[in-house]
Amino acid sequence: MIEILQTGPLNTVQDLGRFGFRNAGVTSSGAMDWLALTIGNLLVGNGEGEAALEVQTFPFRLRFERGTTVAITGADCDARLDGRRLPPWWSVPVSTGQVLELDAPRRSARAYLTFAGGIDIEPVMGSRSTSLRGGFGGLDGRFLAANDRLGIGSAYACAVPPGGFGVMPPEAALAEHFPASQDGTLLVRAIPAGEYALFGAEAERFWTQTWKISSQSDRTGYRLAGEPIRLASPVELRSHGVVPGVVQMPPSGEPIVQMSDANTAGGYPKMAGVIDIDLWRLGQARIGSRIQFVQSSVTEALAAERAVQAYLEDIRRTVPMLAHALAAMSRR
Amino acid sequence: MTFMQSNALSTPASISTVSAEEPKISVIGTAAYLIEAPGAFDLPAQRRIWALAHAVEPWPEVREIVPGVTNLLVILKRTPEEPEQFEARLRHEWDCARGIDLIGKTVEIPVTYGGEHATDLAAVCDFTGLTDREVVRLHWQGNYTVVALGSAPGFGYLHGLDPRIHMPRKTVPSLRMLKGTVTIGGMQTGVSVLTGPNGWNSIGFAELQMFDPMKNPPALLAPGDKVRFVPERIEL
Amino acid sequence: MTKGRKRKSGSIAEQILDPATLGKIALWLEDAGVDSIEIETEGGRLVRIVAGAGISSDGAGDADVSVSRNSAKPAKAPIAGHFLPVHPARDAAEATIGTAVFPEQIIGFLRVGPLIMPIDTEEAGTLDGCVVEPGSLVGYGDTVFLIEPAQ
Repeated sequence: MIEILQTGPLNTVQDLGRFGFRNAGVTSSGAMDWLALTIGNLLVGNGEGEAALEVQTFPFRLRFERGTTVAITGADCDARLDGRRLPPWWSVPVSTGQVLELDAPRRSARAYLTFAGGIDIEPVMGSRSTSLRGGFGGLDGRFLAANDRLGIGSAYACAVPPGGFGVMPPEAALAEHFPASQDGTLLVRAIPAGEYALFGAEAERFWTQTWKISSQSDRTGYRLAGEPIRLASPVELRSHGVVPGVVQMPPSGEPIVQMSDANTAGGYPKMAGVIDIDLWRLGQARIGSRIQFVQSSVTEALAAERAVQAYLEDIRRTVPMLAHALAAMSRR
Repeated sequence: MTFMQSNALSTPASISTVSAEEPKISVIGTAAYLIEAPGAFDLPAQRRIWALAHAVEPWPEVREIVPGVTNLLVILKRTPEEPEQFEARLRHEWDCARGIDLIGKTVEIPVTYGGEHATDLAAVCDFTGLTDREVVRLHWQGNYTVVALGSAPGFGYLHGLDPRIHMPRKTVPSLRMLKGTVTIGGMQTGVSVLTGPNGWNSIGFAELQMFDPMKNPPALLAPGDKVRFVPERIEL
Repeated sequence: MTKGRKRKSGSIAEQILDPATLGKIALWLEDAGVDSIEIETEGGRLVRIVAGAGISSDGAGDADVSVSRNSAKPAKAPIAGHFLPVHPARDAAEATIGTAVFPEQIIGFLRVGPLIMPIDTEEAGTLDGCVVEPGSLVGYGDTVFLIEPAQ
C-alpha cells in the first residue's frame, strides 16, 4: 500500500487510456504524457500500460507502507526520498515507512509515479484511468486526497542499485527529432484539418503567431490566447467525433486544443490536428507558457514515431541487461 | 479484457440506394480520418454512415470508430505509412456502402414534463408560439431514432423531433443542469447524462439511468435504437 | 606499460555491461603479465581494461588519478559508461566542487546506452575535484571524483 499524505486537487490515477468506448461518448482519458508513463513502467519492470499517479498540483507527498520500487518520470519535481534528493527520470528501491515528496516543477507540468507491480485497482471498461467527468475509473472516479491509500501490485524484486538508476530523458535523447525554439516557446507540429480552407489567408496567422496557454486549460483541453482568427460568418458543423490534438476554432477566434479528457464529439470548425507523436510534449506544457504551431506532414510524423519507438526499444532491451550485470557484480 | 461498445451496430435489415455526391474526407492529426456524408441531415445519409461503420470496424488497423451525425470518425492504431492509400480505401468503401437500417431495440423513457427541471419550457413556448401543453405533446408523440452517441458517456443524439418544436441552443448555457434532464438542442433532442454545463433547452426530467460503467455495454442506447418518451407526469 | 594487441569487439554493450567477462579479462591480464588491453568498438572508441582495476576510457583519467592528493578518497564509476557531470534534464550539477557531500549522495552520472547510473559518495566530506572530462568513457571502478573526507 501507499498512503497519500499531501496532495493538491486534480492528481489522478491514469494509464494509457480507455479505448473502445469513444462511440458511446466515453473519452479515452489516460496520461497527458504517455511517453513518461511508459518509461516509468519500464524503469520498474512493469508492463508498459500499468497505471501510475499523474501529479500536476503540488506539493505532493506519499508514504510507502511496504518496500517496492518506484520511478519518477516526466516533470522534474525535485523529488526527495526521506529528504534525500533524487534525480528526475529515476527509479529507486524504497522501504516501508519512507516518504517521497514532490515540489512544483520549474519546467513541464506533470510528473508520473509508477510502482513495481502497478496500482492495484479494478479496471473499468478495460482501463484504470480516472474519468473525472464521468466519475468512474481510477480511485472511484475522483482525484486523490490526503489519507487515500492505494494498493500496489506485488512484483518480484528487480535488481535496482540502492541509489537507483535512470534513463536519458526523451527531450534529451530525442532532441534531433523534435523541433526546439530559441526562446523556450514549445513548437507543436500540426496538420491542417477539415475546415482549414474556410479561414483562407487568415489561416497563415495560425502558424505565425505564438499562442499562450490560458488559465482555462486542463486535462480536457487547452484554451489558447492570442490574436483571434475568425470566420467571416460562423459555421456550426454537425456533431462529429474528435480526438485529442484537434485544434478547434470557436466563434471567439481563439483556438481550443482538446487533450486526454477531450470531448468525444464536437461541432466547431477544425483548424488543425496536432501530430499524434507531439501530444506527449503538449501534455507537459504549462498554463501561461507559449506554443507555436508548425505545419508538418505524415512523413515527418512517421520519422519521429520511429525514433521514439527505437528509443523505447533501447530502454526495453537495456534495463534487464543492467539488472543482470548488477546482479552478477553483487555476486563477485 | 477488451470488450467494446461498438458491437452495438447490429445486423442490417434493409438496404437503400446511394447518393452520387462525394463525401468529404479530412484528417485530425495523423491517425484519425473523418468522413462526412454529402447532403442533408437525414436518415438515408445516416444509414449509409452506419453501413460504412460496419464495413470499416473490422479492419485490423482500426482502433475505434465513432459514428457521428451523418459522419464517421475512423481512429487508427498508428499513423498509416501510406495515407493516400488509406483515404482511397475509405472512399472506395463509401462508394460501395448501401444504407442499412439497424435493427435497434425500442427504449421507453418515462418523463416528468414541466416542473422544477423544465427551466427552458417557457422560452420554447415563446420561440415556437405554442402552449406548454402543445410543446410537451409534440415531444412525447415523436418517434425518435438514436443517430449517434457522443459528447458525454451514453448521451444519445435523437433524430425525429417535430420541426414545430425545433429550438436553437442557448447562447448562455445552464451552468449546472442535472443529469436526466430532457432537452431540445436545435433539431435534436436527448436526455443529459452528466450534471454540468449544458446549452440545450430543458423541458422535463427522466430518472432512467442512461449509462452504467459496470455494465456491458455501459450505454443504454445504441445507434439505430428507437426511443419513445412516455409522459409519466405533466406539471404545468 | 605492456599493452595487449587491439581486438575488434562485436558489441560494446556486451563487453561493458558483463562484469563477469570483465573480471575474467582482468584476471587473464594479470596472469599474462599485461597491464592493460584496449578494445576497439564499432563506434571507433577505445575501451581500456586495466589489470586489477576493470576497464577505463581513452580519456586522461589515469594521469589525473596519479596526481591526486593522498588524503582524498575516490568516488568510483559503478559501471562503465560515458560521464555526465550534470543530469541531462537539469541545469546544474548535483554537487559543486568545494561543497560538502554526505554519504550515498549522488554527485554525477554515467550514461550507459539509454540508461543513466549514479556516481555516489561513500562517506561525508568535501567534493575536491572531478578527474574525468564530461562525455568521456570511463570504466568500471575508475575514479571520477575525489572527496576530501570530513575530519
